Amino acid sequence: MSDADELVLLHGRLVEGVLDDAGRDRLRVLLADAQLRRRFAMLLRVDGGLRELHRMPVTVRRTRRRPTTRSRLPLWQPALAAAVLAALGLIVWLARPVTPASAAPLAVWLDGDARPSPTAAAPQAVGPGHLRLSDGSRLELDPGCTASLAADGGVRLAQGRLRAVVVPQDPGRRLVVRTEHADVRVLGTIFDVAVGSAGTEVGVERGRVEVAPQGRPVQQVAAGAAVLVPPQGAVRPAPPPSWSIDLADAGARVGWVGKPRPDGLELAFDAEVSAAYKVPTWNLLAPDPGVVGLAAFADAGELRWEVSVARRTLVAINVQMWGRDGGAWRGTVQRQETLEPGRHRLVWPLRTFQAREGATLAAMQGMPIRKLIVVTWDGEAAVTVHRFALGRPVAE
Amino acid sequence: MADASGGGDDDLLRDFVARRADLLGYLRAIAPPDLVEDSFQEVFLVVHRRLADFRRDGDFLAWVRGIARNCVRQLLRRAGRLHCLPDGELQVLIDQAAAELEDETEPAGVDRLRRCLGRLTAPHRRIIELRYALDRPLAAIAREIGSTEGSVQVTLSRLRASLADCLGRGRSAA
Repeated sequence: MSDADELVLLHGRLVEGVLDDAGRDRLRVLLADAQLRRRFAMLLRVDGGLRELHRMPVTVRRTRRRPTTRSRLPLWQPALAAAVLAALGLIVWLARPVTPASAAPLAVWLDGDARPSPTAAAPQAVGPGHLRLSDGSRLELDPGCTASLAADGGVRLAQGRLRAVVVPQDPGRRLVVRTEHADVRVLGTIFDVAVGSAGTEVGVERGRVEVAPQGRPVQQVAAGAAVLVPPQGAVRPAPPPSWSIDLADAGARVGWVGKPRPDGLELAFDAEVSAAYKVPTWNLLAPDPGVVGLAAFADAGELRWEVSVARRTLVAINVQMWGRDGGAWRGTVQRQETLEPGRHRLVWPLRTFQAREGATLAAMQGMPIRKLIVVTWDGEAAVTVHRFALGRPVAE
Repeated sequence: MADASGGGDDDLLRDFVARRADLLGYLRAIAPPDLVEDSFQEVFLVVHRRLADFRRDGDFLAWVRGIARNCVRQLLRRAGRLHCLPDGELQVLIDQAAAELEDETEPAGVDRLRRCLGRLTAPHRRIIELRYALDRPLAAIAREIGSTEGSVQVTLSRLRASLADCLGRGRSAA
């Protein structure tokens, strides 16, 4: 194998995160050569370019189709139906206004979703699902979230909650999420927008967004803060998006020592339990009366969390209910799942958890949630929890 | 943040945005796969926040790469995974490679890469799509196409090399 070919393979392992020490040593030797270094730089460019390119709608092809019931029909029926549809389609096509741009996708569904992409002609997107916008920004629509996309990159959120991960914007251009109550303008950041009967809630995880309520003064919302824009009246601070805890930002993994946060949440490595059960275990402690955003266990609640696993591993979340005085444990529910390598954004309805130690889900209703426990069976290095969100579905 | 920037800052930001793909490629070489997206976001935010600190006679892209390295280091430290950083010498060589390419060439347009992709066979384009568009793990791709994980990795490497050749030819023809 030539050095150039070897370099190509080593680059492949490097970007997949599987290059071992011997490979790194060899790569170092090869990169000392100017020609090979140039080759390597082109590989970096191609790799980054492919990432970038596949954020563009036109390159994604749909391969999976929903199952149909056509085969159950008598043979002549589908033929007739096809002929009628074809005729109708031809009439509609002949009568259509000539607007080729209306068919261009404004975004694509990720996760291998086979739904048609939103277009200018049919701009609506309904969650759950993840959308990649043409500039590479990502919208994560919760179940029940309904949004419409505009050709200028804007998003109108009709109901529900979405999380926006916004990539660098060209100068002078900002992604705008509009609701009936406010415009939320952003340069590049991560934030949540939710519309409910109480108004529009905006919570910022990173960066800063500008909230422009209808007919009221514009204000900026910084990372870690949230505001509620009610249908009328003054904009007021909302509970911070602290039901959504970004563990990387919290610095909580450094040493895994309980670390108080401004929102009162506390994350701690449970050395005692970890040693006793031989599995790394972390506790997320919430101040009484419960985790912000969901004071009490409810069937309708859901846990949303984002986790990366380096290899196939079993992870579990325990949700503990304690008494209102914070003193006595009242019950635990658990859900566990084997995750494939990669990053996962999971929505686990609380009704899908199993009650532990003789308890029942019905008995948990209304009890204050005091603690979330993350349990992994594959070591700390294999699992990184990026974010927790515990709350009621917004559409409720 | 952008409001505080002048017209010169806009030019810098335009250059930054135009080289987004190069930054992604660079980050993928120095950060573990699961931290690339987060690093990318962080770099963008820091560049905007600290644009006023950039010395106008300096090398803007080198400055951005420095921020990228710091962001990756910070994320890895928080995750207790500093051992995942490339060692100093390898990091220097990766930087040197990226800098030399920037000096020699304009940022790669996605249109040219798309044309090169169009020259691949359909099964090969499918593998690229599974990995890059749908973020499928190598093992899942292997299952889907009836191959092995190692073979998929080698195929992807060769496809990237072939695309690099195609991009190189396009540049010399232009």
